[in-house]
Amino acid sequence: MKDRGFSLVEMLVAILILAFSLGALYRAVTGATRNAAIVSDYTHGLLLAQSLLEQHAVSVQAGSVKQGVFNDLRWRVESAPVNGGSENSPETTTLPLVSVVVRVTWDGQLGRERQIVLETVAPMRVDR
Amino acid sequence: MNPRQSGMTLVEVMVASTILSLVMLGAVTAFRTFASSYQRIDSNIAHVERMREVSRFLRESLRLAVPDTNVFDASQRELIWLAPLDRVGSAGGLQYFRLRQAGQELILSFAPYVVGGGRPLWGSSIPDYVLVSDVTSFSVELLLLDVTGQRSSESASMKSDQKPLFPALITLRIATQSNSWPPLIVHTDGAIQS
Repeated sequence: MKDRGFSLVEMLVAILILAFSLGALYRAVTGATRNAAIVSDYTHGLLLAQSLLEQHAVSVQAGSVKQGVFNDLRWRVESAPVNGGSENSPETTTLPLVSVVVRVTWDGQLGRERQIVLETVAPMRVDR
Repeated sequence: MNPRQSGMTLVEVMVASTILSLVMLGAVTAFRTFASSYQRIDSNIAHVERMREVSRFLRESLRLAVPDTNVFDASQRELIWLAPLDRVGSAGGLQYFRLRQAGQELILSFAPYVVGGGRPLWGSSIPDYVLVSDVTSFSVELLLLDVTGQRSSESASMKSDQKPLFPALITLRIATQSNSWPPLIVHTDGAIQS
């Protein structure tokens, strides 16, 4: 009477192992879903930020702030005059520059706020 | 009948098979959940990837568009431009591009630029490439700048009564069934010279 099949303990252990592995798999799938959502958010945010940067780097007025909302993304464009270099540096006197900062923020997964910041320097618009 | 050799009772068999079927049910449900979420992730990623690729291509191509108002043409639903195509393979060099919406598809066609050959005859001889297949809306906006950099006019199409200007900013708005893409705003390199 040695070969009586599996004992109850053996079966329980086997089912327990199955349950644990399913649990691990479930966590992996949850992580993948979250990562996919994060990637999607970042892609949307980056495309919006790129567009805003190109839009606002044309004929910029210094010291302006613009903001708005697109879908779940909140954006803010700030421009400030660049005063790098010394006072009598020829670069600053002949070509006034504006630094343009685009900041796109959104509420990511787990209530964490995420953001993308793009910066550029553009020639300042001079009204004549 | 030897009592020690008797098999399992009906109750034992039923209890065992019930437990087994519950375990199997749980396992099968879990695997189905995994499969469906895998499919969902896959299609989401494919959407995002398509959006990124199409946006990147259009941005790069429109940025390099040749500032010739005889070639560049835009209407609310269609855009035609001439730009170098950076590509390894059969296609390359200066190409005419035409982007338009037909039904639910966003279609790109391109034909090589021939010196003195004029505009291509868009038709069946030029193949269509479907960029996006679930488009619900597509529109083009142009921003023209005058010499001093003032925003002179914002118009949906090129005005024929005035001297045509090459747009400084081209805005494409694309919405698909699943979501609306961020507006694609391109600052053209050629606008400075024109």
